[in-house]
Amino acid sequence: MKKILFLYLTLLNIAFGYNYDDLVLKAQASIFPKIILLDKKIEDKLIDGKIIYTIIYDKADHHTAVSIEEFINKNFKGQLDKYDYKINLVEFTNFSTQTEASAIYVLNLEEHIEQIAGIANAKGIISFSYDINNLKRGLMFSLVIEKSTVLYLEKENLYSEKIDFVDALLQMVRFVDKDYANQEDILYYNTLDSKNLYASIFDEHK
Amino acid sequence: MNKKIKSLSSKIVFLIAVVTLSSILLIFNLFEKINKEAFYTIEMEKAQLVLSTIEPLIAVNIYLNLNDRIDQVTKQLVTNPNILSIKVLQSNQVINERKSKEFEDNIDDSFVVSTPIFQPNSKKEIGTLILTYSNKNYKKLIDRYTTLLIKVLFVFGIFFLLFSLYVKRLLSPLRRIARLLKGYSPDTNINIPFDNQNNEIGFISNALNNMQHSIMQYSNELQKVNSELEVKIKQEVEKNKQAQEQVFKSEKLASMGEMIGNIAHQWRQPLSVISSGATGMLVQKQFGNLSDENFEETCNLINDHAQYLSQTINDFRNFIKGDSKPVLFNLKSDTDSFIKLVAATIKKHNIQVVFDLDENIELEGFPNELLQCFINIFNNSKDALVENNPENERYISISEKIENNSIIITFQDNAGGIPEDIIGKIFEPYFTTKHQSQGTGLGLHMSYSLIVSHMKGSLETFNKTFMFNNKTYIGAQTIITLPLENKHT
Repeated sequence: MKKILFLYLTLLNIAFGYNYDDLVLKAQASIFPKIILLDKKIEDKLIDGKIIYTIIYDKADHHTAVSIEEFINKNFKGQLDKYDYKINLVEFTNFSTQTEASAIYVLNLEEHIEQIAGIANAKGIISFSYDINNLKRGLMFSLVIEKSTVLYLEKENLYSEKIDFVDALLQMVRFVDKDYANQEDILYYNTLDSKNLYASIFDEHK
Repeated sequence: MNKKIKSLSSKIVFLIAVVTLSSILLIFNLFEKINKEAFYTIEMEKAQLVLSTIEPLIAVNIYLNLNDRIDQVTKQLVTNPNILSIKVLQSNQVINERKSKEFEDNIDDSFVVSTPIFQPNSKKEIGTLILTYSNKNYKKLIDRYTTLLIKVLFVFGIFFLLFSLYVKRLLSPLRRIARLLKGYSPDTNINIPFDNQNNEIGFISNALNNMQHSIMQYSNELQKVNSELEVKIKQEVEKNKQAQEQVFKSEKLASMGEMIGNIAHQWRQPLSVISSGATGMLVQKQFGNLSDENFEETCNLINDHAQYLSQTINDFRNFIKGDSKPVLFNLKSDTDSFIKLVAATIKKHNIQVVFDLDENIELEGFPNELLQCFINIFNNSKDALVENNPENERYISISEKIENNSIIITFQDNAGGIPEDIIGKIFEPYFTTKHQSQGTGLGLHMSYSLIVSHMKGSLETFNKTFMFNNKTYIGAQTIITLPLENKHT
């Protein structure tokens, strides 16, 4: 019976779910919660004294969301540095301004990205995206494993008054401009080092 | 080293050289030390700055476990030629270490700095960052600075050399003035140049020229005054000499008067004997009983006394005549002559004279002048004895002996001594305690002059207590000391 169920889920996933890179998922699950603590205004984002890490997913990706939750709990054991945390799994259709979140992690979605990003930006919620292409749609962070692990940050999010990351984080990330960048650009940028990337973005669009 | 620097300019230059060199060395050392420290601090600060710049980045990467990113950062870091190595430690475990190519060559004298790595947005220490920073820049700075200082020192040396030459040139007129003044005497007029210079040397030249003029004027006046003074002194000396000679003559005449009295007294008895002898022979002849023996005996007696009288005349004549040049004489004979001359006085005043004479003392000198001294000393003692002592207690002792290569002649009386307040003045001219009719105050002064100046001896008088005939007396003791050279014993 179990084998049948596993086979069913696997087939279902193959048939309807997105094909996630497990390595990227794990890297993101390891790093994104830590990035929350690099926000100098983390205290403002606590809900009942806890960090609420909300994973937003498509219905088909539920088991991925669960596995991410498990992975995070296994890694951090309910504690992010001195703060307790809680992971909420929310289907994107249920995500609204009422949803409690210190940070959100958006798995692959075809729709509603702009809406989710809008809510997050408005509420000062740190947003992470599995897919780097979602940055041009308003989400804040993504992570790609290239030659090395690279963090991307959508530039416009820096202007939010509710979020203030430590300078060192800003030194190490690569910036993406949603107004200009497209996937090809990003792929191109990825071949450059961070300095040239930043320089090329501005030079090309002056 | 012992050769002292005499030139003023050399001294100035030497002192300035010492001060300048000391100052430069002090400043050099001080600046070198300060700047070395400063350069060291700068380089250390640079290293610290590098560390403090990359520490947050490394911290974030450690925090996010992005070790490959740390490696990228350290790799990029060691491309800087000044960074020799970088080591990242997490919980005392090296998680990343990179060394540049130059690391092995420069490790010995490079800067090693470290800083703790803090978790971003937290004070939690999560690791340590150790940086080895090249000291190439530091060495370059030190080398440049040392070169600069040496150049400055060299320039200072050149300046100092020029300054020394300038000082020497400035002070050369002083040396020339000194050379000119070496041959200066009030008789010569040295023309000192540089008096037209409007500086200290000009002032000195002017002052020296004026001074020469003044000195010459004073010298002329002084010469004139000296000439006049010399003439006056000669005149006064001559006058004084004449006066003294006159006084000496007076004193001698006074002595002569006394001597004549003595001689007259001495002559009385021989003359009486001669007269009696001649009268006796005449009476014996008239009565016809003058035997040949009596005649011969009486004639011999008369002749003896006439000879005695003749000798007395000789003594007196010698005394009056004085000595023109030193002669060899026997001290005892001279003393005998003195006694003969004063014998009448001795007898008259009942003075007992005690002798202790060495008969063999012979000396070269002025016997009559010494005789005159004996008489003067004797007369003073006699006057004091007559005034102070009863007739039966008037003693004068005279001793003559050789002691310590000198002839010592001592006169000692028992007249009570000379008062202490005047004893130091008795040889001064015109000093006397006697009535004007009795003394001139020149007797002892003349004796002093004769002994000290003519006979190169000494004369001193002091009071002395002594025993005689089991009785204690006080009296004046006068000691004549004569040098024994040219003596014959």
